[in-house]
Amino acid sequence: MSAPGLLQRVELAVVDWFLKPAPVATLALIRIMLGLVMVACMVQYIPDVEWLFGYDGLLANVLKRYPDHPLRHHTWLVFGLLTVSSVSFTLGFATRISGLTAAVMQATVASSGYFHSWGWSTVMPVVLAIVALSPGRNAWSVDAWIAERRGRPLPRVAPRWSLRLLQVHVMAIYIAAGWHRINDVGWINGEMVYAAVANSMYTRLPYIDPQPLKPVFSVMTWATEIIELVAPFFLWVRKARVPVALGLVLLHLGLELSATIGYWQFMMMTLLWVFLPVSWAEGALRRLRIPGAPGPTAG
Amino acid sequence: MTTTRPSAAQRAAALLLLTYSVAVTILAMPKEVLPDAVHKKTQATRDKLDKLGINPWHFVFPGRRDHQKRRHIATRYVGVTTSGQKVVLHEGPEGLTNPPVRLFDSIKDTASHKILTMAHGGPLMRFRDDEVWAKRYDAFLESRRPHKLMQAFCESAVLNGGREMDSVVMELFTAGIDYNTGEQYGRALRVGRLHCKSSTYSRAHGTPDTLPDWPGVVWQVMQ
Repeated sequence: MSAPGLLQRVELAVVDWFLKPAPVATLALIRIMLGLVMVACMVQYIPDVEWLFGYDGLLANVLKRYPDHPLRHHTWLVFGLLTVSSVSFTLGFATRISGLTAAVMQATVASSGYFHSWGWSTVMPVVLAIVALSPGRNAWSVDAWIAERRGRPLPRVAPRWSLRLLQVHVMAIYIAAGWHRINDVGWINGEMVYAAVANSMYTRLPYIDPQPLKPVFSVMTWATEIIELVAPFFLWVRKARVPVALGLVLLHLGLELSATIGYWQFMMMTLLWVFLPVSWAEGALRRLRIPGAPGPTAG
Repeated sequence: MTTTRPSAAQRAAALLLLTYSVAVTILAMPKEVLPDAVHKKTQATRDKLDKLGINPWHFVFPGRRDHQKRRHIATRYVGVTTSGQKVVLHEGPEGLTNPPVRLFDSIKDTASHKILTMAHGGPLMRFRDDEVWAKRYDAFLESRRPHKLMQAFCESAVLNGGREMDSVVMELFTAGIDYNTGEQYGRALRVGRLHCKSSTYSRAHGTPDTLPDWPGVVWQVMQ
């Protein structure tokens, strides 16, 4: 047999990159964690749903675009479905339907604008849909348990296309987050962490005196910008991947401890698992001690 | 790497996934790094997806700001009922002052703040100079958002607790901080009064009865 040509080799590499089998543990962990983020968000939203989103709520009375929005006319249906589907998705029950329902409902909420939430809410629908369609239900889920009981266990190793798409999306988020700041004087001068910490809309410590901490905030600004600038490249470099992903987790953890900007940080810390070794995800899931959970997967 | 030739289905799937990945990457690229023509061509797609609530390309926290930073913002809506009773209809944050450590994000406060800051209200937190501030304030009033907000508290039973309102006053509290000196300059004012029945608006005067307890903020005298 003759050696494959360049085009064929490229084709093989692309097919391999997207479709080579991989253990499903990472996707299962992401499913559970994203689901928990959505459930936490609903718990926080529900007491004020009517006041903000309702037929006669604030948005309906103030925003030009909102009066015809489906969320105004079906507020409780949307939030009810979103809550139920998020719980179901977390448990891995009817995962595909519940995940896709959660994605559509979340997009419905997010499409009502940025007046009540932060950017994470528009990123969430896509990642929910990818995980819903992925083999993330094949382990640590009610679906997997039912399939096992029926004698038709779901495969614990499956093509990695969904992991790849999530990786691409994580990269895209850092491209969007970091690259528009390359000529931004606020970031270049190291002032932006100060700006965030000083601003009571974001900070967890609204009355902290930011002045003595300026040098620390400058270093944090530059560190943030550097890691977000290089992450889209280095997350793909095998040897750099884990340190960069862990650096990003630390960045999001630091942001979560210092600022309240919705669920950005929890969502990102969840998604960054796609760049961490699958054995770590398996280890984390085993600690959950879910009955019927599979043992470690080779690969 | 697989050495056997992939099936047609595998090749088609890989091509589709690759196309999607390239599209996501291009859409994520800001105009600072993308050729102008490509950025302009793809902007409509970004806008459309954003309108649908799907936007993994949310450009976060741009910082083109000068040395005057945002510090605090708060609003209060005070209503007078037809029986003459004065009622605080909404305060964001409650009591106008955050807890010293904010553990949770309040969706009501977030909406209350962002609905102002996204309608020319953000700059009101920044400017030390009275003239610049006054121009920004005029732009904020011209946005009609304050008028709409007062009207909402007049008309919505959800927002005014089902009370019959005669008028609603909006009070606004903002503060900025100078990056170089740490000086904090606050402004508190009655934005306006809306008479609910006639829907007529009059510019209110004077400072609100109570001010937020924001440590270090020096309140500017409002003309």
